[in-house]
Amino acid sequence: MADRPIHFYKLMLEVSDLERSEKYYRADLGLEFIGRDLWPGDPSNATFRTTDGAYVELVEVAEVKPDGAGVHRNFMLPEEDYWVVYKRLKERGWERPNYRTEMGVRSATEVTCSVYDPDHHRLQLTAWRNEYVIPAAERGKVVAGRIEDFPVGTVTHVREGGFFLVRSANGMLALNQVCTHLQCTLAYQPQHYQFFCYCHNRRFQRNGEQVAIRPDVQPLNRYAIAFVDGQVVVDTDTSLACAPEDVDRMVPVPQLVG
Amino acid sequence: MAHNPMIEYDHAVIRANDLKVAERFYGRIFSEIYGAEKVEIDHRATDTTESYLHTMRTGGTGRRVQQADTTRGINRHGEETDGQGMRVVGANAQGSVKIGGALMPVFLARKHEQEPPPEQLRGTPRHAFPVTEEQLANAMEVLRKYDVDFEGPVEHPAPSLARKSVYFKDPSSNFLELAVPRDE
Repeated sequence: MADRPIHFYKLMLEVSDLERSEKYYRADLGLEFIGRDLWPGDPSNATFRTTDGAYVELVEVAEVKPDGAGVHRNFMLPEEDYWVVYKRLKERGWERPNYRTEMGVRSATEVTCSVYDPDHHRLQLTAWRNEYVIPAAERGKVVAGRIEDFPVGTVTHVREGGFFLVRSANGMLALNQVCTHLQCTLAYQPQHYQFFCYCHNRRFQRNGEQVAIRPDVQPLNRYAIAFVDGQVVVDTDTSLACAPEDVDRMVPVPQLVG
Repeated sequence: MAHNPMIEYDHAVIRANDLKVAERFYGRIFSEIYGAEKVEIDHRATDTTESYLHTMRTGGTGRRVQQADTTRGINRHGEETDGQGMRVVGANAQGSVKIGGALMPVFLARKHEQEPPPEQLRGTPRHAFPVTEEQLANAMEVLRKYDVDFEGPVEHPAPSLARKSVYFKDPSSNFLELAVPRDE
């Protein structure tokens, strides 16, 4: 037991109609049903078990106390299971608004929804997509502007291409605007000379390297840059990973004539 | 045959009327029960310039919620509002407690809520954590040391899945339980 992982042992929830809620948690949500009245000291109860071994005990009470604002219980599923459960709950009318999802304040790899149980307890279902690919903007070759439009020391967000054009004394970089943590969109904070991810507070220097005592994600991805007739052309079809040891590698800028 | 999804219990949001007190409570008591290395406390109450500015710009997430409601044709007025008819769900005042793999984000309650009477130590909703007999004995000493009232140990007859429990509450009256599993 000393090495037994510590996790929730049990969640107890009040319900007003045990039979109705038992059906919901078993047939709609899909939890493993363990049995009725397995906790003799409690009111009439039904018990379920999650895949990671936590019990969910429903106890029947005369009056269910409402959840406070923000209170919810999160269940994590593999993505294929998530969609099975999500569609079933939606079809049966248990879905509820999920504002962070609707407002796009979620990372691209996170799939999540909120649902109500029959007593209006809020549950959240979440899946993390397995593949972890920083998406390219796929807008083809984007002409960002003339070389002289990007003086040394500037960072320019090229919205239509989904990248930041960074100009330093050593050259130029086109950094993918997608965070390498969980694929949220970065913002540039000129006051700090850093890119900032609002989702999970990751920060990156202008060379794409993470700012952290213990970096936990890869540098920002890059796009290939070409200089054509004095124009900066960025190929947004292929997002290129950058190894930490290569972050200072910039694309040399041709000398301007005249 | 029905599809049996894999469903793991990941986290549970609780509410507190004093985040610092909640963090101290969970940090001290559960560290002494399970070991400090098993307990993580994270305080995230508007602790970055960015999150502060975001709150100022948007009025918490409340204004964004109103936009979403308008889009969906939902009228939520009459729920919890900021005085301008906008629902305030901004979560910029929160912390989190992680005990082993059990994550509990702690949201600051935005209004005073009726708590159960002080003498009620066992109630629902409730979260239980698993302990050994030895940990349970130690836990009762820890609770006494910090003047936390508790009920138990309560012995459970079969078929109860737990053999023994101690019941108590956190400082915001969230019900908690330490349980010795029967298969222990």
